[in-house]
Amino acid sequence: MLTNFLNLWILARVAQAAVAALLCVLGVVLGLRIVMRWQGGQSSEQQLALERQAELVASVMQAVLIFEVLGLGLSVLVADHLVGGIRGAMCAFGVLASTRTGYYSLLTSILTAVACAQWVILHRLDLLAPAPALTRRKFLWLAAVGPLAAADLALVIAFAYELDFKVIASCCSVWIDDSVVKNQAAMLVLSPWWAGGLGLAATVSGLITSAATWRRPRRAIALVAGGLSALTPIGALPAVLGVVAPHVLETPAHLCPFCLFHAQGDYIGWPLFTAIFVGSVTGMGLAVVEVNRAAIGDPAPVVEMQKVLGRWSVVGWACALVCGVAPVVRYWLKSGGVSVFGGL
Amino acid sequence: MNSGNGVMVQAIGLTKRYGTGHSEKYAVRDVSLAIPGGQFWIVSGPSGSGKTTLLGLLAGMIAPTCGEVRLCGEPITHLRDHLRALVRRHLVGVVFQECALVPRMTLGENLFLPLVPEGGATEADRLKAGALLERFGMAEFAQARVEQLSAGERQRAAIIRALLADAPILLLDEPTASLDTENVRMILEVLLRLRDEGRTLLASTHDQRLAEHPHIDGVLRLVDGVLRE
Amino acid sequence: MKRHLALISFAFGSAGRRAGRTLSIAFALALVTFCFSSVLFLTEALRREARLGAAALPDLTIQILAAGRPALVSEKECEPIATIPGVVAVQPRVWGYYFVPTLSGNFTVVGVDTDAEDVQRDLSLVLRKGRLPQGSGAGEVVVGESLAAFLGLKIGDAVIFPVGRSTKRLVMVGLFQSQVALWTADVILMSVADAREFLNVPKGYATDIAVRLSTPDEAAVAARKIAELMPAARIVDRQLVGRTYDLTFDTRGGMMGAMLMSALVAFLILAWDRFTAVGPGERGEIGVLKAIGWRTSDVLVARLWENTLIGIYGALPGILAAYAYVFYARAPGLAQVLLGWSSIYPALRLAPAVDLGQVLVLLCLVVIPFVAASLVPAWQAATRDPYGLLRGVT
Repeated sequence: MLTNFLNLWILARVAQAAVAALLCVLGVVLGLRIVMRWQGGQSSEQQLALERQAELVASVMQAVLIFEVLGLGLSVLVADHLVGGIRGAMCAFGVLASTRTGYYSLLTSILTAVACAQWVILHRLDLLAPAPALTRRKFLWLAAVGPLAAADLALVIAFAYELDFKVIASCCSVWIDDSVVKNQAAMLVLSPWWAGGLGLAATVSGLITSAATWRRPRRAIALVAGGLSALTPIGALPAVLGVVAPHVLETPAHLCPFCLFHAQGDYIGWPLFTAIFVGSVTGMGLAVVEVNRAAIGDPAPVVEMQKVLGRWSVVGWACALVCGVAPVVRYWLKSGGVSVFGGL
Repeated sequence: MNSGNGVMVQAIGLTKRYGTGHSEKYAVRDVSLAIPGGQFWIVSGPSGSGKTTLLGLLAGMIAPTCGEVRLCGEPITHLRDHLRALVRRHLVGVVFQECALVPRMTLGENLFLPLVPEGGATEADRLKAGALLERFGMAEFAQARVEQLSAGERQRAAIIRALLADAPILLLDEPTASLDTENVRMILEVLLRLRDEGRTLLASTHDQRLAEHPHIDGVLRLVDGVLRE
Repeated sequence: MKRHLALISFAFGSAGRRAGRTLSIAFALALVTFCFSSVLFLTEALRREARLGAAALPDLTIQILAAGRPALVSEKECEPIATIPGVVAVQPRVWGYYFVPTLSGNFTVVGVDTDAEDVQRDLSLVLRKGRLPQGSGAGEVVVGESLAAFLGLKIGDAVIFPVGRSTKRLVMVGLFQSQVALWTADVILMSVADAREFLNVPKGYATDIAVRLSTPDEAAVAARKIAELMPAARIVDRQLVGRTYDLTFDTRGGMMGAMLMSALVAFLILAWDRFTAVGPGERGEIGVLKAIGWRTSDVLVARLWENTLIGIYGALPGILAAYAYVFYARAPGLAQVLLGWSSIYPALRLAPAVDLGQVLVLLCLVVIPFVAASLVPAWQAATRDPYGLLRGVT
């Protein structure tokens, strides 16, 4: 309903997404114009002017990245804010689930932020190279980021429009109720031992490969680190739901990631998901840099960039590990060794 | 960084053309020069002869229409925009006639401006700046605002700023313009001292006193953008 | 990091050198931020009050309607309701509004069973000063702290109010405090007998019936069964009341916010205009920076930091002023719009309910568009040809 937009929080989220999308489209249009006129290796005034225009695109995309990351936080807060108006919703989980587009909107925001981050990494690599070998390529990549930002805006608006305060939403416990979901595979993935093991293995392998790349950047290990960093969030999510959340919220069936952003969850969600984002994005950047090694020609900028990204990826995964393991350890100490899951 | 034959500033067939067709105008046409390290050269010529444009080309601030510029033996013509800026930060000290300093900032703040993008001045930089100010008789003006300085003092300050970055090459545009005889003498003394320390200097001027000074190592005469003998 | 810190320090100086522009933009931004912040803070404070108030309501409240208006309900209706499965307690309540013409305000009179131990226990938790009313018909009352201050009453004071053709003498024996500011500004507690006399509610009747359920989520089921027993009743679900107030205040705040959008757009156009106008002094400064080795990205980042600082200079005072306006000055003008003129509270001081989420909302509503609007002008300034700048050509 259009009246849903008469809400300051929703207006803020739409404003953020609109500004990000507008800037992204500006960046794409300018970028494509640059690509069409680019004459790498020339030193004419026109070429210098194009390089300076490229600075604008770079600044725009870095601003979009910051806005998209802020938007991720805001989308959780907005969904939380709307809990009071939707019966049955106890946190952002229920609000997002009450519409068709809620989770798609969140996912698109995440993908847009990741895509912007990878573009910024590519841009920084291009700046380190003595010749603008990656300029054409990076502006062509921009053409993929623009539609994502536009889709993000469209889905944010669709989510806000679709909100129906007359529906009765479901909280997270419904989705793990076997009689409702009837999905044995999902139940298995969320079972504590399986989820915990998978999450631990994924995070530790991301950490190790990133550390190896940081210490000695090499092609194979950088590609492996990049791939693992892309997959680790998927592997870590069941652990967050199935192990971390129950221990933080001290309830075996409370598998809600969004409650981790509240006081009842000690606000652990903020550092945890931020760390996962940083570890993943910088880890994926290792692969992006490696893939473009041949185009640059000079290995020095590639090595320099991979060391920086590797270090940040290690920091991200290490923090994620601490944020995930600490609540479990704390509960075990508090309970005197009694599992939150009872019989386990 | 030095080239094999000791040439620090070199231009090969440097040309800068503005406009096309009937409105085309050459600011600099087919200029070639080679200034050995540790020498002080002058580019003289009347107003509008292309002296400032030539300095701008040599500093990498303008892209030539054709030709090449080499500093310390390394070509800079085809460098990317942000790398040209680094050349001006570390290799070439540029002192332009007007707007050499940022008004409404103190002298000290102006001196450290080139260091801001690299994280600002360190303790070593401050000590070095202090020593340079002492050496050029300007220690008392460190906290003075630029508007309070005379023309000669501003010129010296701009030169000190260039020296702070340890640039081996100095390009100066009309360093003695609007200065009285005493200040001209002082500036010349400073520049010659720098030359004696091994720096390479190229100054543009229409002031014959400077061009005809006996201690100048070489004079290039530019007329209508073309070097004349 | 060191680079950014140095550029931020430079940006501070730049903003100071262009004090006129900095102050004009910051002032306009402060005004816009003040408007949005005031609406947001007031809305959130009212939502908090509504949430707290709704949490204390019974799971179901039953009223009888006559000619579409709430009428007194017979206490006999309680018996059949108590037999419904899931109903834990049924309590007839005597309460009502009393309008004082000289004060141009209502206050709420609530009758409480002062002889019941559990009532005494609950009331003693909120009693700040004095004692609870004793006995029925004595005219002893406990008043909300804010209301007492507004009426200028101290413990022991007596006030005579007209009741019908006679009068009723009330003696204040205690003060209570509550998390819900609306209550401390509005409520007078007295014994049920006194409340009946004061509000003219005869014995055997009550204002409404409060129902407590074993499972609040079963409210809809219980309400349906009660409706079958009492077709003329209006059954108010606590959760529905909470959600309604939540959405109402949100929508009112959103309407105000939507109306302020035009002010925001006008401000962004002003900011763009001011940022785009680069004076000769500024052009010369950029020329010097580029000539001495600043890259285009260095100049651009410095300009963006300068604009961000201006954003902070403007947004922070706006937010602080809004906080003072809403929570100290009680938002004159705005409070009536958001509360509604049908609710007249003689004395209402809202508790602050500001959190980082609201700051992020303000950031996204005001500061982000501002920074975005400054991007292109900052780039235009940063990419000017240094040679031309130094020649005074561009």
